[in-house]
Amino acid sequence: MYAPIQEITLRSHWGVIWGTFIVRLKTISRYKGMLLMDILVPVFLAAMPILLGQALSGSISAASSNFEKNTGLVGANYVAFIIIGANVFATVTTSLWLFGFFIRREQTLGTLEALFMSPAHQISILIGLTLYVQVRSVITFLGGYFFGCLLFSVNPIQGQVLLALGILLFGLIPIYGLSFLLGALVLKVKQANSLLSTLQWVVGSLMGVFFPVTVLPVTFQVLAYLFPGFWLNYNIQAALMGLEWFFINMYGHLSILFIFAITCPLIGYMIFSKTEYRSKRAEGIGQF
Amino acid sequence: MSTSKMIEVRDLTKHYSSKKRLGLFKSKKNTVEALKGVTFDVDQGEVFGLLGPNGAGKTTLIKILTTLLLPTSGIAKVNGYTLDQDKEIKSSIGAMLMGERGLYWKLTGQENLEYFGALYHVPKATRKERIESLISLLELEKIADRTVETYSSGQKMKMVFARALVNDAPILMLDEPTNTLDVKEARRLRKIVKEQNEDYKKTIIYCTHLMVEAEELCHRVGIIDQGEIIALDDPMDLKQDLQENDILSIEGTIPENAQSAIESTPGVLSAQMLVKQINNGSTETRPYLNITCENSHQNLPEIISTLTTNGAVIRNIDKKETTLEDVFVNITGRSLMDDTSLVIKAKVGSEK
Repeated sequence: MYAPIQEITLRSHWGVIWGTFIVRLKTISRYKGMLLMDILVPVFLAAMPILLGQALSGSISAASSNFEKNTGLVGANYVAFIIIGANVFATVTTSLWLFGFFIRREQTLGTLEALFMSPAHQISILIGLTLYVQVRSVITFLGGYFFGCLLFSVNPIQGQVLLALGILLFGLIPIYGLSFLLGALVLKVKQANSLLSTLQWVVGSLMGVFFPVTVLPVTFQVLAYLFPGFWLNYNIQAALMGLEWFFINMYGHLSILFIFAITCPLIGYMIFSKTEYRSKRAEGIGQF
Repeated sequence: MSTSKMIEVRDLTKHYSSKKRLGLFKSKKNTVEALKGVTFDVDQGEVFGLLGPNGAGKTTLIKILTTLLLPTSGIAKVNGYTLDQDKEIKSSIGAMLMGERGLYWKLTGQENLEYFGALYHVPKATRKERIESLISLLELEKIADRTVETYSSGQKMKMVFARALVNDAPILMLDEPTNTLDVKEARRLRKIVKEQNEDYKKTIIYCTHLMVEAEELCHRVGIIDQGEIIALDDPMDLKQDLQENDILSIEGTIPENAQSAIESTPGVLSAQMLVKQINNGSTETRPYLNITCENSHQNLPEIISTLTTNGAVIRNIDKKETTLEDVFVNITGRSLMDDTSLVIKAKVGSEK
């Protein structure tokens, strides 16, 4: 004789997604000034190389022409290049560490076991979580981009802003996939802060945040082309600054992002599920 | 296995490896046997107590039954579902596992309950109504709109208990639910647990190391020690077996030779030095000599004489009512308090 249990419906799955989204929004709203800091960080990040370039060349325009000459990026305004790069970098790193930090935070709070004990599907929780990050990313990207452009006297509405936003939202999907891998890593080693700090700068270099990846040695260029963060950053720079769509055309570039958007989440989730199963067989997922 | 049982556990074992640290870089792999062939059933509408010292395996067992852990071997069914049907099992259970942890600190108590209600797929309208009644039932009105970070330990504990009830599941698994609650609140929570069983026919697994709680609430108890169920029965029946004999508690200064001499005194069946808490809720303890004898009236003069001639100074003698603690002592030769203190000492030692 089985006792009746709560029925799981499509509507109740949506309840989980929406609930997770709202919980995250409420949480960040209660950390005063956090969103503002999210907007300011990429501007400070961009300011350092921009001012260094100015100091070395004598003026912004001299630095811009040096940058154009040395990188081969015809018509590229190096200030805009760095502002866009820093903002995409900040968004990518937030998204990349999203799941790892989420697991870690929930472990230390003691809510991870409570989440795993509920019948909510992990995918529903993850969709709610990524929905929140998408909203936060758009706000911080636009805020950081416009503020940075105004601060360094660059026209923010040059190029195709809507296309750039679309690329940002779509291009973050493979990054969330990679985020599962880091989540699996945190589940396994419990502490991943030092690794994440190191990886942060590798990611920055492979994305071509402060310089185009063409200045890197060939091996690193190949690695960069295999990293979805590079395509995300380059495509946004191309949309906003009119850089060349070097792989066939714009659709060629978007196709590459599309392939990453399919494969990365699948591989990432598969590895995370395996790690989760191993954790359950060992001492459990909530131990930290 | 019969399907009328709400929980069925057969030969459940759980081994995991841990590292014994031997220095800065050296470590040795150890296999910890957390559960060793545990078997029991829980009937529908029953309150089943899992009684044992800290580290006995109670939480590991509950974690397996809630699918947070996978067993090394053995079979378990919860509400008729096997452990691989984890969604159905999770929907069947309302659990309170990690004490006061497991709440979002930046959310209010009510927001926590709403979120967990959503995670358990409780429809919005039902959720709202249920949360209101839980807040009223647990007298949380004054704190429900405050963020959890401002709560005391006891308030968090009550909110976690409310969280366990939010999905109105047919099975409740409560792991030490009265920890950190004061005496009055603990009594109130036990009353609610009883109501959940009697009025709403919920099946309850209640883990505790407090015998009073197990005796007050449970229809049956399983005493678990070092990963094994060492006794399983109605609390009255378990005590009945010991009631043929008398138990004396003697306080004072009792040297070791007096302790060993008492064991060979005629009529004395067993004697152990144990510790007891001075007041409920206090961490201060007092040692006492626990003596099981055939007949206290006849044996007491001889016992006093043996102790005093061996240098003991007696300050107080009580004839004890048989408790589940005595059952545990009788089976293992140790008290629950001893074991709990050992675990605390070991933890403090490893932290140092």
